[in-house]
Amino acid sequence: MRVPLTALALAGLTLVGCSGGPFAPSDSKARAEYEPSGGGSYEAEATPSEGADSGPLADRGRDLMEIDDQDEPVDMPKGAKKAPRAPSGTAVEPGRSSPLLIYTASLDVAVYQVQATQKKVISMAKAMGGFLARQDGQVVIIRVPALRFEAALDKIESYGDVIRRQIEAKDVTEEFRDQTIRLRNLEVVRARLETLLSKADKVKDALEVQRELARVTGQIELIKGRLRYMEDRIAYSTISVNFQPRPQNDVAGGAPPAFRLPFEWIQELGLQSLMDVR
Amino acid sequence: MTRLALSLLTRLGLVLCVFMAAGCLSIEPPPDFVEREEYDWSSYAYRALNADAVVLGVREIHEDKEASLGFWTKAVKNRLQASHAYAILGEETLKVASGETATLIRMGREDAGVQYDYWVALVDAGSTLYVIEAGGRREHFSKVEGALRTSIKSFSH
Repeated sequence: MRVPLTALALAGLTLVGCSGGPFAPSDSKARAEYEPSGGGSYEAEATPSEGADSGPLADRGRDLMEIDDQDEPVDMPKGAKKAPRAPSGTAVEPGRSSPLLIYTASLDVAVYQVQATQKKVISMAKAMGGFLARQDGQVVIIRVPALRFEAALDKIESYGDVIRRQIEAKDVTEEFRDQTIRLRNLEVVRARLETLLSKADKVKDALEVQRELARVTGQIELIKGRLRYMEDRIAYSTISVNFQPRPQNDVAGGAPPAFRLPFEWIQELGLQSLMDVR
Repeated sequence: MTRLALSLLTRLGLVLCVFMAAGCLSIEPPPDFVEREEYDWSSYAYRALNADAVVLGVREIHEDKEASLGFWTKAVKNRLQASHAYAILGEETLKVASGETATLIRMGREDAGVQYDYWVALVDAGSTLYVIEAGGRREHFSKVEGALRTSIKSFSH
């Protein structure tokens, strides 16, 4: 019996273990039909719950299955302390059991000297092994190694009065696992397609396999890019600081006070009064 | 009583009035500071300044509300930090010549790109609270910081 190569190629595409994706397996039968000899590991990789038992991602998969979602957007008032669990390394390490977290923080800080404080924050980021990601007006975005995330926050908060503080620890464990499995499966499919292409004896078949091969390769590159992005975000936390100059109303002229104590002399304190020696 | 004696008594009275108005306070200004005569309606009992407009001043507060030095320190910091945008740069205690322990609050702020230093030292003398202030542009203030600290320590009442 002769099975057209294109039919095989299309059937192969259904083997990619990506839920909801363009290459999602339709059912176990489709996988069985395309089961290569000795290809049990491929089947296992295509199904996450089974993939944990064999294949290169086995250990990692087992670890990841036990982790609950931990997206933690937290709006915290001034003074509140949040102690996010720091990742155990600055890179994504296969086989580790801790969740993969992307830490981001956004702070509004009122400071006495905006520019000088911005420079201090940038220097601090560099000293910690991080870097300046963006500087735009009063906003500075720095990236610091995840292990130094909390230390960096503490340092920044010591530079002024924190008006707003938002910290997020986004758990990307599941997405990372899914994308990794999907990548492995796509690579297997690509290998199969390449084999089929080498065996194609008709131009039409060869072209169709070639087209599918290009599509699979494109998907692989996209996933690799996404994984690289996640690895970068996990390894380096992002801290955005919006520096707000304190209101300048005292030396030049008065402004309505935020509160008043019933002691007139306290209201009069300040450089404006002291230096008015006319 | 002779005319001469009457004249002397009048002068002595005037001197006493001036002395009492100043609350008997005494402070040694830094070198090159000129003492300024305060008007009756001035909030200050004493002020002196140098040619760079660094000013040293003393207020004498007769506060009928009993409060600790800690309370006044906190109140001053709250007022200046929260309402008037001063940055608290430090706080220390000093012993003044009259024996009390003073709390010195060192502050700073920026106005139109110019940096200023502003110090407030609080001396609690029972029914009277003395507020010693010093301030000026940072580039000038920093040159006389040590002398100003010495002046504050020289305060007595």
